[in-house]
Amino acid sequence: MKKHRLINIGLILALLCLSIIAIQTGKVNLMTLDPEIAKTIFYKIRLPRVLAAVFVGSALATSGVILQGLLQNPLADSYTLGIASGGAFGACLAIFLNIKFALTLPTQPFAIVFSYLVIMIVLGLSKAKGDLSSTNVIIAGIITGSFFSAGLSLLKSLADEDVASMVFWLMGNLSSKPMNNVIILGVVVLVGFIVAMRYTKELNIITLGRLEAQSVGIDYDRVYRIMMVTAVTLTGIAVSLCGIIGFVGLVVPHLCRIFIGADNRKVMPMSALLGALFLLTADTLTRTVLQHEIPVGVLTTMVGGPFFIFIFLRKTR
Amino acid sequence: MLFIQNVSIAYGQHKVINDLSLEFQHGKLYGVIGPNGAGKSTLLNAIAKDLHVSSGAIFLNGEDIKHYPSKDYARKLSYMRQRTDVKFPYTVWELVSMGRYAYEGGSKRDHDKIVLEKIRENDLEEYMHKPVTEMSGGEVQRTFFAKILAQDSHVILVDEGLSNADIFHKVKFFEQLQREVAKGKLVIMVLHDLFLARRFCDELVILNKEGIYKAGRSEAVLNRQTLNDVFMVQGDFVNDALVLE
Repeated sequence: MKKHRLINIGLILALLCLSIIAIQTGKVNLMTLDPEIAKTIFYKIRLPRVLAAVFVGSALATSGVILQGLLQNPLADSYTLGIASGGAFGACLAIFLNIKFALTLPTQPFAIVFSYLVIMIVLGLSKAKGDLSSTNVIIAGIITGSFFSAGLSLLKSLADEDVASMVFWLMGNLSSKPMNNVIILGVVVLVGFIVAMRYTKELNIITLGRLEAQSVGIDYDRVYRIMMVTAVTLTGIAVSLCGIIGFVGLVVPHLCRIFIGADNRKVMPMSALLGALFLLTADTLTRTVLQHEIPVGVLTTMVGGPFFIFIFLRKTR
Repeated sequence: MLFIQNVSIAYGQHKVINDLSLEFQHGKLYGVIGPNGAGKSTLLNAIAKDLHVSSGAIFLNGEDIKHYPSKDYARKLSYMRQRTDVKFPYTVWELVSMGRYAYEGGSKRDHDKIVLEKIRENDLEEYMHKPVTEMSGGEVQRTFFAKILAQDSHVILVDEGLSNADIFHKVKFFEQLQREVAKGKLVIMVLHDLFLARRFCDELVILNKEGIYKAGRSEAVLNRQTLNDVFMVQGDFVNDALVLE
């Protein structure tokens, strides 16, 4: 059997095993509890959390693969284009308005709307400059991202002592997500993944640049827009539900490439699986092993970095 | 037939090509030569639709190239650029396969057969599953040439071609181009090596800053006079080799 298929089967098995373990472990043992309470904990707390970790991990990794391809840059992710900054700004704007004016604006739609706003600005600026080449898009993305990062800092400073709720949101966590939202997340991630898979062949060629892609017959602008919207949707919905969870989108596709090469037809599904596994592992660790639960976004970055360097130094491809 | 009709191309205010008209016939290997900045690559870029012409039009088989849908045009014309960066570790096989994009939907057997054939033709079989990012400059250029051949278009544009390859592969490269031309294809190549231009091209288009200096059969147009007028060197050709005085 082909190498990437074997790896994918291994990842699926590992993901299933870990999900079962993750659902069973926690502060209380579901087996010895009153069945009614156990059921509530299972459906309201454990299951949504495990599913959220799986979906968010997949979403971030998939969007990482797309963005690295579109931007022709193995080091790009949703931060490069300011999508995550936009989403974070949107959510914090909602939090800020809620605190200052005693409103109950939902953070999630704000985050999503601002993610889209960012990408519309980015693509608009690039097009105004000339074309959707990666240089134009990256420059527009960095500028727009910086703008929203600054806006985020402004909100934080204006929030004064209420800044804690923003900071907590920004650090990223997967606890207490309503099941409904998790199901919506799951559906969006699945649809996004299917769309992304449909254009992996084009994505491969787009990494050679706009002109090269057009020369072999790709309708570059159309594919670029579809893939960009897909990546933003995946990032936006993940960020809106769970805050900023760094490193998954950057590192996971990179790791996959080390093992199976650059072909996105293989990299995309493997990244989705590995992203899910990575985030689920990180989240399960934060809530079980450690005495005091830390935000999973902090752990993914702190563990992901050294792990990545380890792999990077050991294997060269 | 490729027909360039009163084409002007400008970058901002700066006109690189001014009211240029040319005709290229199928079944010939054309070389475009001239000093730096004469607009050689710009001409190829315009034919490849990499950039728009400011005025005038380009016709392929009687049809304005603007009107070809992208996949149709990819089957009609391929372009080997001076340099294309490969940022991800694609293998030779994967890269050459990309040349077949315009034919997607065809059988996998045909696809694999053609890709393998072009890889073999360019002596790349032993590197077939090696990432291009780990190969030498000359090998990468040969891989891109294999990709262009896999695209199997009637017109092949080449900017510089195998500039980094060894002499064996350079000569082989021209022989391959001549074989494509013998099949009735049209090859237009920009090159700087005047020896190779005179030795291998059927016809030459000599550009200078003012436009076309001369165009015609290679030996007839590239001579002592041209060297002096266009390239500003004193010398002559002995058995196609350039000898400077």
